[in-house]
Amino acid sequence: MEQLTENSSSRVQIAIIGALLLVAVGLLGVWLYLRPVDTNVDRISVLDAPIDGFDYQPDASAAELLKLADVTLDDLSSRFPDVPQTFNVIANRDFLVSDTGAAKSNWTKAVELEPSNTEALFGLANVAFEDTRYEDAIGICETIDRLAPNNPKVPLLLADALLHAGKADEAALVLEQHLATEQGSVQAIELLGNAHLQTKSYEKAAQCFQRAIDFAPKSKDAHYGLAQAFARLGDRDNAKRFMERFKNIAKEIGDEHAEEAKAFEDRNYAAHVAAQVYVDSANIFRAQGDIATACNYILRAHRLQPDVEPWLTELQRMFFSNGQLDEAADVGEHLVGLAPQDLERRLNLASLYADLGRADDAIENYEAAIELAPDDPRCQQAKQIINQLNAS
Amino acid sequence: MQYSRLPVATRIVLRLVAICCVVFWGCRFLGNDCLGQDTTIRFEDLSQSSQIDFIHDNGSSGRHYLIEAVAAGMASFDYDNDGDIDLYFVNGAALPGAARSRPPTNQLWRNQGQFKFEKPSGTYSEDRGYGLGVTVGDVDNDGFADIYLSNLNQNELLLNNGDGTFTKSVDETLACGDRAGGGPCMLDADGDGNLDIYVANYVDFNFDIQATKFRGRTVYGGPLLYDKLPDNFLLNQGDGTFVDYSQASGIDENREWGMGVVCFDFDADGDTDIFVANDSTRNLLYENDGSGSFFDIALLAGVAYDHRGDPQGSMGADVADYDGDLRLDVFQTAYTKQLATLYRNLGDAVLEDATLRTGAGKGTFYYVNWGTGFIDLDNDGDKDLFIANGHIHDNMDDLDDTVSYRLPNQVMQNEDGRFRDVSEQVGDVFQIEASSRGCILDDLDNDGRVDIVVLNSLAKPTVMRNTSKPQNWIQFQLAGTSSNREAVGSQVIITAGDKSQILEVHSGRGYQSHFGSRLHFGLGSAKTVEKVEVRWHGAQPQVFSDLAANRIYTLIQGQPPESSAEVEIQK
Repeated sequence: MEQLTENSSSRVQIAIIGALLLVAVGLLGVWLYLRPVDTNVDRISVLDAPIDGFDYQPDASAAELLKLADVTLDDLSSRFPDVPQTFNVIANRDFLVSDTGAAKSNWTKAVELEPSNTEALFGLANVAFEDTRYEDAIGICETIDRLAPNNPKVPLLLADALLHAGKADEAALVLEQHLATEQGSVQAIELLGNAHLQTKSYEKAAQCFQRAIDFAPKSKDAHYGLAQAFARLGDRDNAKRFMERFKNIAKEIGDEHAEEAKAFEDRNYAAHVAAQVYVDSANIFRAQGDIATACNYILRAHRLQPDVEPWLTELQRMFFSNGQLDEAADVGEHLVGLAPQDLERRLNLASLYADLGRADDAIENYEAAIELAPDDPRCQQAKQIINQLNAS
Repeated sequence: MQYSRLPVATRIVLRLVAICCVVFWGCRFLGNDCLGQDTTIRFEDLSQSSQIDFIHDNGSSGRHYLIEAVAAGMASFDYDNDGDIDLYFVNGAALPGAARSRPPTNQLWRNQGQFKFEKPSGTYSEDRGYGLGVTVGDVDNDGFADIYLSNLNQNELLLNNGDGTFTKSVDETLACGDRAGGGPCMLDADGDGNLDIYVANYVDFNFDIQATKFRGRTVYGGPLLYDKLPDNFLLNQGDGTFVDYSQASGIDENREWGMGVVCFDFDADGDTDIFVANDSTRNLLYENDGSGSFFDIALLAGVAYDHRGDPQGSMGADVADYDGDLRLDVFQTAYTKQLATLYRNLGDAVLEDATLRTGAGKGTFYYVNWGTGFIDLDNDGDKDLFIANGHIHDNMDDLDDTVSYRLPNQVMQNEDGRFRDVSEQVGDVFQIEASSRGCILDDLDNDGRVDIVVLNSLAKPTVMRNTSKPQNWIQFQLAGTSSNREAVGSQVIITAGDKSQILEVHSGRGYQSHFGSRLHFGLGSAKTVEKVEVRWHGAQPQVFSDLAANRIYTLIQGQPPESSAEVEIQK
């Protein structure tokens, strides 16, 4: 009897376990049926995957991060010793870490290799300006202007050097010429205002600073300049009014600086320097046709300083041009995540998915784009693509 | 290659080159004067022979407390009234983590004449607080100059007993609590004939605030890491006691990171105003209403920020009339990657940043500038500039190849209102690299040329004798009777030939330092000063005529001038 009871109890247990297994299998089936279909479920995004040859520890110290930059630059120098841009990249790093003497020497080497290298010349002009050799800065800027007349940074530096050299009249001429094509350049307008202050043309100075405020309502420099101009014009009420506004803006900026100083992390600064070296180096590799290394270097930069959007956009472009569509889509997804309302990025990603044959993902992103800007002509085209994708 | 076969343009270029060579070598032969690049300013290094063995100690132990980096000022004054200007060096004290077998103290060095100095014993002027700034003035009007020290903690007033000794004042008001002091100065704010004291305060110092890391190296964290404090204003009661008048005077309303201070009558209304150079924030310019109440008008007056509205790491400040319009202009030194700034006084309570127009900041961009003096170094009748340089970071050489911890000092020569950096031409002593802080400019050997002494952080001072080409000069030692005894705030205006000049007696100037109580005017070729007007502070002016040059005059209020014997101009 006892034996019988034991046997029937075991059977019941087995039946229960079997039933539970059936339920579990059923639930798994339902989950598999309902889950979003993702053909790349096991793929790690290229932005998160290990990077070839990149020996980086997340807890690396500032000195170690700067060493990474040194190693990269050494490699660059040995691979491309005759490329002027190599010296520009080294000089940019030198300038970033305040080794201005070394920067000057490297930019000089770049100019020796290529006398018309405007980037190096601009670097040298900056060094001359900082060194208060204003006449030298003026001469170099004029050379650059002859070589590359449309570089918008040059007239600003030239005008500033002229102002510092006590040649405010000439600075005003340069700026007026520049503003004829770059009408919204707040920096140029403010510099022009300063030039007018120097020449005691206070009415003109006031007009400039007022215009700068129209473009940039919280411009500290413009408020200060306008108050100065009013004070010189004897308009004390307006001078006081704009001084008061300036004071508030200056206080805000001062508080921000104090917060930044308190939050300053040496490691972040070093990471920024190393990342910039990788990006600059990537540009050289790209120019030399080595897209794979260029992408690798931008990935390193992203690992050190995440989410710098221009770098990611460039990376996506390079992956695409190199035929690495999956990787381009990875970067595109990340870019969309950073700015979900960006129509351009949505359309770009949708197009990449379509190229990859990921129709559902493509449709989803085209629809999101249409929702963002239904009247945009590109969205009308997107609707047609959705129809085509659905049909196929 | 035959010259005549060269293209026309090449020939023209070669001809121009040849002409330039002739002009260049000709000018060298003639002594450079025709190039306009020469200067007659010269200094020689007498640091060793002066016998001064003071070594500044900032109390550091490697922990990088900010306060170490900003110490200290110094003073020059005639403490024993023997006619020679003596020196007073401010010193630090051991900070946590530092051990010193002998505690550093401030040091007074008596001028024995002939550029020899001795450390007199038993003066009781050796304050052992952590010293930052110093000023000098006769607070009790007894005819002997007293010393006020701003320290990391309690400030001190050392009263000159007149017998070569000093006694520490017991008035606790003078201590100003436990604030980390910046530049002190004295002024008779309310015109009662007694010198009041203004003390800038630097930061709400805290040993718990850690040093900063930069590029993997430990560096000093800046003032932005600390809270600001209001400055102190102490009103002299005239009975040997002071009251803290900071709140009642309006000084208490502002809180900034205070450093150098200079008091002067910026609006020529007869009372003394206060300019405070603040680090990394706006400067202050307190307009005095004549009763000792102050209102900051720096922003409206145009001296709070530089020409673009940017705050500077302002360090030291001095005032003088650089352009001969008889208005006192302001020069202030600044931190690295900024220009030292010259503010031109336009009158009507307005100053403008004239740095770019005058070239006054040229060559200062990479340096950290501290002490400064706005004084006629070549006796040509206009005011030149001296700037003491040195970085705050003792490991700067590892961090930036444009600037070092130790830097050379600079001289900017005034040439008709424009300044030219002549540092490389004025003597080997200007090639010496040290981390300089406070400085004094005074005629230490009574030869009519202004000499310079610079306090160097963690080192001996640099002692520079002025050996410039001799020109005529005149000096005035003022002594008030109804005005305060040191005549602080009084002005002297002289006219010699077609040139008029103005100077004012200050107590406290430059970088947390004091110098120039005896007023010095360069006269160029003029051998007589036709008119001397003394505008005694808070009293009737006096006018004197036809004073002979190359003498030191003592002007006692209400009395005719007393002259020293003519000082023979050394050729």
